[in-house]
Amino acid sequence: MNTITRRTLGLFMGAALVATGAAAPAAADSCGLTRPVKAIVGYGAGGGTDSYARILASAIPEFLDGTPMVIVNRPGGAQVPAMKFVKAADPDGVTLQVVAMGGGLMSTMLRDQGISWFDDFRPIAQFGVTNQALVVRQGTDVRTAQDLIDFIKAQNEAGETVRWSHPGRGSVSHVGVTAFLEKNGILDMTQDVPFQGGAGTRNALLSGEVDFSASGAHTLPAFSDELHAVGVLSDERDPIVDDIPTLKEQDIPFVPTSSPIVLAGPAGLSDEFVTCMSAAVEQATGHEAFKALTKKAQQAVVYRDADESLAYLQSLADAWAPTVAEVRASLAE
Amino acid sequence: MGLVDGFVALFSSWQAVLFTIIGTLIGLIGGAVPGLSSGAMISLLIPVTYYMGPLPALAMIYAVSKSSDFGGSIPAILFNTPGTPQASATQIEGFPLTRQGKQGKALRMAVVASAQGDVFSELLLIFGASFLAIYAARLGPPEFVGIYACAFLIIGGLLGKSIVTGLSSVVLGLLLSLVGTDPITAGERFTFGSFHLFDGIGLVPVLLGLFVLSEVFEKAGDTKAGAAEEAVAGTPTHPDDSRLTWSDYKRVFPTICRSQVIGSGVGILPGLGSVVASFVAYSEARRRSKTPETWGKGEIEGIAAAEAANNATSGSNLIPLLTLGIPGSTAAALLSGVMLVHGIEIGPRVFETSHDLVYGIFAAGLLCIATYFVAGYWGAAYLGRLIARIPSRVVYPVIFLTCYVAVYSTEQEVFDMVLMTVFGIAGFVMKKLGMSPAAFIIAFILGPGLERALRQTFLLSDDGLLFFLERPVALLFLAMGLVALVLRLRRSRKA
Repeated sequence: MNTITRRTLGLFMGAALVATGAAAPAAADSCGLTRPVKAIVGYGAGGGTDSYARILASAIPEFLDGTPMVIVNRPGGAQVPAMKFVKAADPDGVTLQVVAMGGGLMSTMLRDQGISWFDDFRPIAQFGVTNQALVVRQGTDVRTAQDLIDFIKAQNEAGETVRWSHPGRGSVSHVGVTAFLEKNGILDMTQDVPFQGGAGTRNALLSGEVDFSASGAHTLPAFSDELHAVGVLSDERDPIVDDIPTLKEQDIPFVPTSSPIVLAGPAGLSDEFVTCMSAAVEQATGHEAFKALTKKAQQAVVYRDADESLAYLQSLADAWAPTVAEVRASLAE
Repeated sequence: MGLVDGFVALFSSWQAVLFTIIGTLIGLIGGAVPGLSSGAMISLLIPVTYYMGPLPALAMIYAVSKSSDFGGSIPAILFNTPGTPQASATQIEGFPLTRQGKQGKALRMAVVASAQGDVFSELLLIFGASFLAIYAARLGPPEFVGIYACAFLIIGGLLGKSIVTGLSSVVLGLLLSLVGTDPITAGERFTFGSFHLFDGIGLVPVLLGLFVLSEVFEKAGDTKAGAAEEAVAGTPTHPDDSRLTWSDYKRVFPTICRSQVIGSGVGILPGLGSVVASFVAYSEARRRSKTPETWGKGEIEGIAAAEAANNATSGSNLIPLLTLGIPGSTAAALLSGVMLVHGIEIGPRVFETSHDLVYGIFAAGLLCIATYFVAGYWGAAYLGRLIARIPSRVVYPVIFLTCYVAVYSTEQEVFDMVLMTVFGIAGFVMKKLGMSPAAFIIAFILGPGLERALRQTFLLSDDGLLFFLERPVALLFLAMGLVALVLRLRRSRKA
């Protein structure tokens, strides 16, 4: 309730300042915004990306001179309809998007959706991340990524195809695992089976339909008795489950498949706005409420400013490009 | 005793009790307003829950999802407009009762059956969750193929005027469900390059078009003099018309019991949903009935079957959610979002790690049922009397407009309004041909699930169709469906 009062008060004070002709200092704080920010989320309410967005929206008004941030869900179509909506919006800072960039980038790279992300959008700041981990069932001999590779090869020699689950072709974990298998020369020894969502993917592994899978690292602690993570598909350990080694540490060839959570806007946002908003996001990530909520929700907080985010996203896109091109060709078949 | 701990946790927090009751009332109202789904209401409430403790937050969200299941039956019975998709089966028998002036009885039947089914499902959740989850988890794609095929054969065989019209409705629904994204390759199919069709054809426009608009079109063609001035609802002529008598209840009790088992079973299996539960229970009750001639003309047993089953999904839906993290419905998915924010690790050990909280939610569920029962049972008769005074010329235009407002408010797409109109005309034509919009809609909802499961089955093994021979449970469901169809064939031959 405090926040609402504070917001209302902020708006009231902002209005009063404008009325008395002292708008200049207020405008600097609110990044030039005179209306509430609409942050579009390409998934339904209640999901991981939505939670990130809503937690940001609850903390950021304080650093925008009381300007509220409203979350608008436009779910479906792998975030593409949401991206198209934001792309078409005026670059005045009122319409922004909280994107899970793993899926966001991949959906635009895999198909011609009329979106070229780096041309059509401008990242403002990264404030979270989800990582993918390779998982097997507990109770098998597979403990490390090398064990998994050996297991697949042994099964292949015995004439068996190892099957693995993922939440849909072209999803972050599908591309990540495909790249891992290919770099280790074992892609042809396996068969992928798409299931619905992260939960369906995990259940296919739990029930023994498939032998391994990739799962959001932050979802694993609840299943630690049933599932074992052999490694994280990332250069750095996941802040939430920092006991799982990365594939990099294990010296296994792979392609990093982190999905940064990014606040972005349409291309054409002014430099001043991006710098100002990026600073507001940084302050918000330091806010007690933000820290408490993300901690409770087991969501990792990683901040990168606008330039760092752009460079990082570009490096991810470059790393994914070869595998994405292959998956793209297979989708077109 | 977990449940005792749960009640202690619930009643030692006045906020938890208050928000359970508030949630129940919000759910009732939201369920009763067509176009306001429980999903939409919960989405609106999610930001509020960030500032609440975990138990009040989860209790409120759970209460909204439960009571909206019953709330949806109110406009289905009174106006032939389902407030929620799962109330579509209720309206088949509910609205004819309203025409006869028995709206009070129909509403009370709905609330009694809802509450009983709900309590059964809640108890199953409380005492059987960890046990049942093991079995639910073992059902893989081949078993789901069996379950879907069985549902299609039963529903297609029973809901049409004949087997041919029923099954052709199913086939049409299946064909329509192919539009959108291919579930396996993720490629686009039959979208004609339109991004409105990228996720397939929306359920809400199809549902409102087929069930509600088609009815309005039919009424528009009613040229009987004075029809427009008549009230939609009849005037109760006998005190029993507004009451649910003990003998009524005794007669439908076995049906409620069977339906709550069907509903709970469907609820445990992720992805089937309460629409399917209510139609399967309705068809099964109709098949068993000794007086099939009274069905479709206002049979309270049909309301009892549909409502007991759809509410019985709400508790059992939480079984795969809590133990496996698999949400079985939109409401369950949103609930898992709220749990995520409050740091509850959904998974096999949730009953240990969040013991008081989980049982507190169960206790809130029981409190919610009691609350909507009281509000529904005594509020229903009052509502029924009020409705009896409104003439058709007011009701149908309002329904017509409500459809358009509802469909637009769901996705804010004008495209959906056009789509709904098309399906309104399609529904009108289907009814004239003796086809079943209900069978059509179920095939449309479940089609993608069947397709996904079938194609996953073929990916999981190199044996093709022979793989089913290794899966006895899948074979059992397939056989059940075929037997139901053969029985129906024989009966129609005799008739």
